[in-house]
Amino acid sequence: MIVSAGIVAGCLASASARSHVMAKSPLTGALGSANMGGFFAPELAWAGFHHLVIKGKASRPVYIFINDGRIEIRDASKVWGAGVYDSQEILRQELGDPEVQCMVIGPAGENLVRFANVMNGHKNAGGRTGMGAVMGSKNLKAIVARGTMDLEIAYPKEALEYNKELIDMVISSKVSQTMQRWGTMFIYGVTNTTGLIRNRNFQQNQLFGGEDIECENMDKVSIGMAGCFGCQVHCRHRYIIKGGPYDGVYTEGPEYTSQGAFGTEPDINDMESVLVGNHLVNDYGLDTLETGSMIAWAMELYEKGILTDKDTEGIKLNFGNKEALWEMIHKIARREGLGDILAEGPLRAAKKIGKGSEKYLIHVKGMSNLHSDERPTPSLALNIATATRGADHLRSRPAIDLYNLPIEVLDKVYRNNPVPYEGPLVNNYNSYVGKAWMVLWQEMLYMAVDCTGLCKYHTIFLGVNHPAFKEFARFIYLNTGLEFTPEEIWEVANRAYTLERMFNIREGFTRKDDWLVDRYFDEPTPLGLPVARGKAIDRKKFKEMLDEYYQLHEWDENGVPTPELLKKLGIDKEPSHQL
Amino acid sequence: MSRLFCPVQAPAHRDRAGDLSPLRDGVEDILALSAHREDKGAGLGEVPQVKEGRERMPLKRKIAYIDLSKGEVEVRPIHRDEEEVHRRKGPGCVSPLQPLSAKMRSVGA
Amino acid sequence: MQKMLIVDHEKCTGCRLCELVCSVYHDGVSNPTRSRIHIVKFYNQGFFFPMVCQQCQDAACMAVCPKDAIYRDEELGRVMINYDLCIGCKMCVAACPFGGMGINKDGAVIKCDLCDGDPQCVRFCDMKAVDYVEASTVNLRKKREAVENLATLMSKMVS
Repeated sequence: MIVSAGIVAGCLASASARSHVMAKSPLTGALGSANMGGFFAPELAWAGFHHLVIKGKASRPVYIFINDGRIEIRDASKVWGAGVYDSQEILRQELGDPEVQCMVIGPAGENLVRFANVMNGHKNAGGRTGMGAVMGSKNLKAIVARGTMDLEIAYPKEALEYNKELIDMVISSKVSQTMQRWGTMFIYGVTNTTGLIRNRNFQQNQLFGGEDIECENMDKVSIGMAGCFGCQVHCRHRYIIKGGPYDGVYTEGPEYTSQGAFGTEPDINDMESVLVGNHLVNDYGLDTLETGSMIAWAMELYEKGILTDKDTEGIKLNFGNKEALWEMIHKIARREGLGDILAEGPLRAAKKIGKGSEKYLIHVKGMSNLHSDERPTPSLALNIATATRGADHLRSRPAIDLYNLPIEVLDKVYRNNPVPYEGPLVNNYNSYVGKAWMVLWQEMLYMAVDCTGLCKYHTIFLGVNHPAFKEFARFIYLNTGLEFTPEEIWEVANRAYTLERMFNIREGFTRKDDWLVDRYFDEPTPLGLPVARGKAIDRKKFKEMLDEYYQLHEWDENGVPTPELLKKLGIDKEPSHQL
Repeated sequence: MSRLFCPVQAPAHRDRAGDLSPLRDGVEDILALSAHREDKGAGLGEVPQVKEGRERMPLKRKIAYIDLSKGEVEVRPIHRDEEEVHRRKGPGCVSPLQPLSAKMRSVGA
Repeated sequence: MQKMLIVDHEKCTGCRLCELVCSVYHDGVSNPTRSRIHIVKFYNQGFFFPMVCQQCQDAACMAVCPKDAIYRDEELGRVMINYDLCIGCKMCVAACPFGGMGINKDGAVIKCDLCDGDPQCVRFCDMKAVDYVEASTVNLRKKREAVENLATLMSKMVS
């Protein structure tokens, strides 16, 4: 597996906090790729390293300790088995330094749950594709960094001033200001009202009376906000659970994704479910999204009689039952009973359960989708169908499509920024026109962001007037001295993206995997505002949009990058994609 | 440039997971990519545009190859055309069986 | 009246941008061990506390320095080190009860100098967990904030 800090990790670039983990995914068999915030990447950079390539498997539990240019492999017997929160405390004590930063796995990773994550702090997760299971399979409990070395800034004075400009650019937007106050939970009010969320495992696209999980209710439990390294958006709460069996527990979050995983998907209109669910997945080291999706799927199977009380060992796995939800989270993390089957991820669990359970899955390439409902939004449907790691909302989502912005604004964002685009752009999110380019453009943007180590909230994800290629070129230059034009950054992103595509092709993923499950096409949305109600994805139009998407990428009709493209990008001699 | 790497895969782990399929180790791919890049005078994953006459800022970014099976670590700078090439592997490196006090003598920053 | 650096830890999000800009401003590199301000974190309670030199009127570091290398600059209300006189005995580091005096990698003792009147930590902290205000107005502001908190609490109790 490869663990990386971005090129400006620890430098002056608004929030330069994020690290990246890659391996072949034990969940999907395709690209495994997870991005983690917090404080690990800067610490790794101060310790003198930007990339770690970890091969092989230790013969017994170990952790890697990286300190000022030195790397040690250490015995982890004192920390193996501990939850995410405790693991980091034990490591801080053992190393005698409260400033060490860890990338740890929880019990879920140790138990090789196929969607176990890697964690830093209480809630910074490299969540998707089961990178925690990869670490667990190597008997690697944690990577710990501690750095006191100088990270040189090429032009310190200018970088400092430009950082102020960047930060002001980010926090002057309304969306950032909303996130500063409420975290990502604010999104739920909009998407639920419109009918863009998944409820009862895709049977409905709205949670009626879902007010209890609205973000305003966080004021009852929140003790303030928290942020990743350098970040002035600080998009998550610090909260203490009040009442119930988890009374007094401190943790951070919850994200919009957790509102979905433990609120809308299992049809539980109860903030406590979200607060506790978030805590459990944080401490176990589980992907909140996959966990919620798998349990909601199991709930539909239980509703339909495909799973019985015998399968659930007496747990009443009904929609709306938060205690059953929590119990299943424990069982998945510990691989007990039905949890052991669900821990295998969507496709393998469906195979084990049989009885037609597979047709109730909401996944692409074997990874579950966010609790969003993309039936009304072709651009987002295309984004999840084609993302290189499976159904994913963070690798190519043109979220601003939802704002129905004026055409002039779309032109500014998507044309000549930095490469030319002559095709159509339509400011209507029910349309299929012009969306292929929007998805492609966002792929390149987010790739560039992940390479720098920046956070997506600091770019054109939810906010329009946020930093993009021009700004990346500037802060890369001021911090590192490397000169890239915006077009060159695009090319770097394209090269990396194409490499990811080639990897998936090598692993057997073809055009047929860039598709959606039948429910997207066959079941129109039952609820929502007129713009979202009665919508399904049109197969013919989706196919045409996919063809256009391949053409714009310079891939052939099977979605394979052409030899000309590989040569243009300088990866034609790259052997990794040759079988 | 974290996502420029061709991903490396975990080894087969049939005992505990049952069906984590045998996976090819992709590290050679990265080295091949690295060699390809170095021919062009560029480091792994980065395409520096050094203009004529412009002073180049040293990046001092390093990549560590850690082999958990063998307990070996190899450290390299990302820019191959820097003067030092740090390589250290073989006996003397920490294996998981050694006590905590045993530290690998590794290369400096 | 002098301005002072005032910390409101409840606003601190633990982002540590202050540490980054402090080290870049003073030493041109990113290295939190060179920062004069540091966020002390209690991870399991979510308690984050920015700690920095208090610029004491009757500073312990000043009292203990054998070379009189530490002095007060009354114009900016700060305690300063004269590096020409400093012999690096580190008595000041031992004397300060707040950990306000540190030692950087080069062996020099370092402390907050208020960035000559434009503290960068304040400039970059959007939450204003650390702020730079007229010293005489601080207690009035805190009184007001306390009353506002009380009013919120009262309204919750009554409604």
